Amino acid sequence: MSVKPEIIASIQKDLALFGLQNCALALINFIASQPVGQSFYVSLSDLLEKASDCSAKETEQVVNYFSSSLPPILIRTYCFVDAERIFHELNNEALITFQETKKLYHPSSGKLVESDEVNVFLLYKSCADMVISV
Amino acid sequence: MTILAASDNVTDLIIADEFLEGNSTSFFMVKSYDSFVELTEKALQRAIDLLSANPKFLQVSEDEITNMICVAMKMAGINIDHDAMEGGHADLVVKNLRFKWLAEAKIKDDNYQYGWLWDGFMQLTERYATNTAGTCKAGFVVYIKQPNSKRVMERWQAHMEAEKGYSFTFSESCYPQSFQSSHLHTRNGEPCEVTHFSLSAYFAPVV
Repeated sequence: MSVKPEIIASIQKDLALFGLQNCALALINFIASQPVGQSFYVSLSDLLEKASDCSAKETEQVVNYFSSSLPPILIRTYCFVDAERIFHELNNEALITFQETKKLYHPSSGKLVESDEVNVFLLYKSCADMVISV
Repeated sequence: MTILAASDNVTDLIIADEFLEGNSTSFFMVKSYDSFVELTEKALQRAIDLLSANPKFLQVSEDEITNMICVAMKMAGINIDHDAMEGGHADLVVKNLRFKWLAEAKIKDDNYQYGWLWDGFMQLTERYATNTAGTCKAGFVVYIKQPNSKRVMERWQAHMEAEKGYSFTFSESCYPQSFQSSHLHTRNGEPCEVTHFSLSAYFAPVV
């Protein structure tokens, strides 16, 4: 298995000018090393650790780039994380409601979440299949 | 197991009344249209500053320069597409949870005269921008491959002023060598405000 050549090409084309290709490749290699066929969530803190040779600013820039690429390699998601550390993705409607009312309704049960239990995290969803050619 | 650090928790950021510049969540969630446009325009100007510092890399096509701007804005956490379908192919399309902002970019060099810029401006305002609520502001970027970018922008403004059938109001912009135009949109008669940015891509080293 190897990284899709079109991803390597777009990294060279888009990010080499900004000196970010090594950081980008470190993140791509991390994603490629994950189990095939299984999507996973990763936080910016995770990715900072995986690209430890790069500065935090560089890594954040590359993460932002990958989450805006088409198709995205890191899909930006906002998740409510409950007491059991289960991730519940919030859709746009739920995000707007939360922002405007400061009330969060559980994405599965629809019940109001107690204010001291409200935790929304920015997480990125990805999958090795997005970056490897099989 | 996914690391969940305090810095990944964006609960307070989402419900804050103020936005945080340079933060992708803040940009995605910003509630006011004017703030959304301000964040977008500042990010565009930063991309312009970054690229114009290295004009030798700008000796490429219009599309390639636009792609560089798009990449620089993506890196800054702006949700932007290059050449997205918006009533045609607008060069830059920025979106967040609520709003949308479009921009068109055109090269100005010895081969392309001001009529070429006008065609691009018409594409932007008459074809791509619907000028409905939440989309009444747009951007126009001139890639200037000629000396004296200040004069080019002045002449571009004069060219717009001389166009028949349109009545423009011009004002200063806070960005370097740029200006703002306002005119009534053909479709709905509401004001359509465009910020005209300049990117000096002139490169002719004498040594």
